[in-house]
Amino acid sequence: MFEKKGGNHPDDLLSKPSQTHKACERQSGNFSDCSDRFLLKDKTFSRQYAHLYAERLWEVRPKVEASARKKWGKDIVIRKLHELKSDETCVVIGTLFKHMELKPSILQEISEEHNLMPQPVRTKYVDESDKLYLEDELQRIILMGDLDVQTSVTGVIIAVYGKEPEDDQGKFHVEKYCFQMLSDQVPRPVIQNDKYLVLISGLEIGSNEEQIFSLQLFVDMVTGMLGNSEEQSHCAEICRVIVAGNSLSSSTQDKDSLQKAKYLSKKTAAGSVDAVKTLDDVFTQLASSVDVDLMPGEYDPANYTLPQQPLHKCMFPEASRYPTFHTVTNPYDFKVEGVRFLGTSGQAVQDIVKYSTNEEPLDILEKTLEWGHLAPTAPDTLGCYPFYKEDPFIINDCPHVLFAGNMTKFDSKVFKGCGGQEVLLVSVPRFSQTSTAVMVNLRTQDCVPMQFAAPSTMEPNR
Amino acid sequence: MAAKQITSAFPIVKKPNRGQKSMKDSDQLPSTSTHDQAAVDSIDDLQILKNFDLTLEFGPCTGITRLERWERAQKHGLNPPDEVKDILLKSKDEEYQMCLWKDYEI
Repeated sequence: MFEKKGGNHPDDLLSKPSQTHKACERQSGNFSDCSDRFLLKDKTFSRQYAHLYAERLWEVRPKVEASARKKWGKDIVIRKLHELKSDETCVVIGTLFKHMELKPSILQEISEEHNLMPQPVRTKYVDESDKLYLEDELQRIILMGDLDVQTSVTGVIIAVYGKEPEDDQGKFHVEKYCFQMLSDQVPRPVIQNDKYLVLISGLEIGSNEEQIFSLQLFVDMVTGMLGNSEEQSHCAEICRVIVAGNSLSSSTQDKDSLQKAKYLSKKTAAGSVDAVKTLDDVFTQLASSVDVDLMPGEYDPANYTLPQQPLHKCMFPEASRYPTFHTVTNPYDFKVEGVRFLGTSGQAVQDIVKYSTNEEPLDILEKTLEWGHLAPTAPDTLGCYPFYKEDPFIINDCPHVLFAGNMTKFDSKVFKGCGGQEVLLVSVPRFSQTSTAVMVNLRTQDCVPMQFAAPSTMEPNR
Repeated sequence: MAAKQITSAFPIVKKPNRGQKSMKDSDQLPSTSTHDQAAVDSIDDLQILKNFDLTLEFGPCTGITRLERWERAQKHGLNPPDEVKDILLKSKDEEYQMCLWKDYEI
């Protein structure tokens, strides 16, 4: 996008300053926020998670039923588990539960009297012996048959077509299955000019691997301090920057100071204080020129449970003076120029990677669209707020762009739904590892990576 | 040892709910004083509310008030009985509003 678009453009980089120098106006995008359901209105943690599962089942069940009738015929018999008759082919709708032997269990951890070693932390908790159960409000039944156990996760609402055989009671033999149908997309309006939205994540300030030089290059590029007037006018087409989590690194979450005696750690400042000051500096530069939305991530000073609440503005005293600086929730749902974006800082995707054999982030994003739920493993293995009136992670409106931050590499794909929906799936890489940001073109709905390579020979000696 | 009965150490204590008919039999022991009638009514109401708590079709009952649970059931079209809502709107007493297990930390 930065190649010369035809012609004899005089190179004004080293020209004398002139009075008639034209200033570039930045494109503005019509923005509307749709994340109200992720903001916590009350904070009572004394509830159980059963309400969240019940709410999920009640809300998604009619949609799954409609999807099953559409796929397998209007006259299929839908039964609850307690109404099942042996050898009757029918459809049952319920929540999937994956029983995993290696899943960390608090009961096994505290069984000290058995002198068991504490369970090692693994990257993947899958095992050959994992089993799938279907649960509705009252009962559960084990599922056998055509369902791939290894790629499924707990918490998805599914409709299974099959029967409980007379000679093998207690097990449901699955022939076919289906999930909630993705709702129709609101068609996005046609935009005349190119407008871009930049996604960046995993800045991870405060660690040894922070890329301050590349970050400064990025900020200068976006604010139009780099390049000649042609490149600056290209950058003026960027209307918004989304920072998708992990702006601080995991090393700022120093747990050692909790173990040390108070008199030893009295004068030491937290590792996160300097990192946040650096971030404030970076965001002041960015916010002075473009709208910035900051999402919290796994290592940021925000709450652990999903949905993570916006970071407090007192941490960014300089940047908060600009009305263009916003702190937002994780997950984040918004609309720019009619294009609906939905994304997370990556915790849901990473949790699914741990508890199933899925590896590719784009495959997982595609599966979450098919399942109709942003974070199905919450609250089982992913921390979640105990909702009772709604489940805000259910995907009710089909987005145009679905992104996940803090992935290992940049990748993108267009997912075509069965109702003609087209969703751009974007995996935003960690900036500290790859020095890459992502630019999404709002007109054509494709994206390009923006990579800042600083060859190590050119860096000053440390 | 065989002749000793447990009721010699633990005498029978008559509780107010003993001998109460189920809520379907609404003609209770006829009582002339209104104070007794009000007490009997409230025992009836509490019984209805307790049955509402124990009906599994309306979902889990712990941790939320009965009114919240009723409204949630209404929202999802599960047809909760209207008399339960009437009883809940009548009295603000904790015995009515909170679920059966309100004294337990669950």
